[in-house]
Amino acid sequence: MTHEDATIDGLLMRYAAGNLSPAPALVVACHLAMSPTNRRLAHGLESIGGMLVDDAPIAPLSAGLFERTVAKLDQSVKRPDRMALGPNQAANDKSMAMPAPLARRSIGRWKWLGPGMHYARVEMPEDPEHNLVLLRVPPGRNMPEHSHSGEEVTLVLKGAFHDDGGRYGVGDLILEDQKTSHAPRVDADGECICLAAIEGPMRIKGVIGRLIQPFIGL
Amino acid sequence: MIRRLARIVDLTMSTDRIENLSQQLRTGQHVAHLGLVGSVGPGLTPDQLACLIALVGSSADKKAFAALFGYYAPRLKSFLGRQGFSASECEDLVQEAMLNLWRKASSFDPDKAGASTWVYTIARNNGIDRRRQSGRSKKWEELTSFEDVDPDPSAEAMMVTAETEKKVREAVKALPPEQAAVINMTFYGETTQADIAQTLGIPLGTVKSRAKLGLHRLRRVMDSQP
Repeated sequence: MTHEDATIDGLLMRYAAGNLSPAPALVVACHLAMSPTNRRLAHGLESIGGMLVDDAPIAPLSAGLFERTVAKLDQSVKRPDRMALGPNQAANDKSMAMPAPLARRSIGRWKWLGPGMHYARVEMPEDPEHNLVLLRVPPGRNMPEHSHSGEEVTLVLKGAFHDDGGRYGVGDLILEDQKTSHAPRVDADGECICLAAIEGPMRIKGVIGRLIQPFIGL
Repeated sequence: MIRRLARIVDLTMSTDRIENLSQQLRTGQHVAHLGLVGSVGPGLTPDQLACLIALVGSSADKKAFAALFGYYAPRLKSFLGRQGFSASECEDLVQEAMLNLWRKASSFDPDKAGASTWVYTIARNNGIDRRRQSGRSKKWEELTSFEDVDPDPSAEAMMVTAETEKKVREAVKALPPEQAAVINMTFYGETTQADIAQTLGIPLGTVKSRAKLGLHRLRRVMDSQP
């Protein structure tokens, strides 16, 4: 899957350069926690940042910057309150992968999304532009068909699904842009749980989608 | 001496060199000799930089900090300037990055990242937070907090870090200039390939293919690591 690899490489590049919004960055961080190979690539790309710092021109500093900095060294730091960990019911599901960056987040209850389908919202108040959700779809079923107005970054945490582009299993990362609108099908032998960062409002298609859209507010 | 330093010794430096550098630092020779305090920092090797960070982490060594400040502050200032921060924002961010270096130095693990890569990630994360707070321009609106990779500590230690970083640097420098430019621009705040295409005045497809070729080469270099 050369094409997909190039797409994912580009996504890792944006991650390393600090150009991703919090929600897709969290999905990528979860993927990296599960993929030693791509973690190595991401680290290599971050080291380009280190190289650019090493090679950056020497800029003159304002007089006293060093002294002002040193004066602050011994001040005790008022640590910003770490996000209080809320309930994370999904973490009780031992059958699904729970990479550390996701485990640190507060995750809501599973809610009904359609027959057999559920979703749970992952809290990320710092990124109002994205929906960050877990989707749980039963064996052999189509993922909810939807379109979206921006990029969608998806990570498989349990099971597998397939579409025109190939088959995706646990730990695989998928990037789609707004042009794609399709209905991937979950493998017949087990349910599939994905973590998805969806940019912009998501539109679920079909009668059920139109019925439930106003309630779930995705 | 200390665990982390010992690890650097094992990895890259002879005990003599470490002892020597520590001695210089304790007596202030190093700093005075290099004229580092608050002024322009000359080149230091990756080993020396890692050793200095380890000294800050293990014993809150202010001379080591001064040497690190002398090296990183002027470079970070111009690096951040290229990312579109104003001169005063740059110095705020430099100060913030150096304070975070001081506070986080004990978590620096030379097995996992080279010194400058580690400092880069600190500055990057500070910059992202700054953009979130100020919402300074539409371009940066989408850039908010950053989720750090926190890999499983049981994951295989990256004992080859120094070697990998060296190879990546060589590979980037060996890339055709047009491919390297597209990759470097990603670090200078050109958030999308469409932005890069516009800045360079070339078609988006060209940017995509250059980025793809460049990244493909880098991945090959990294995948060839043991």
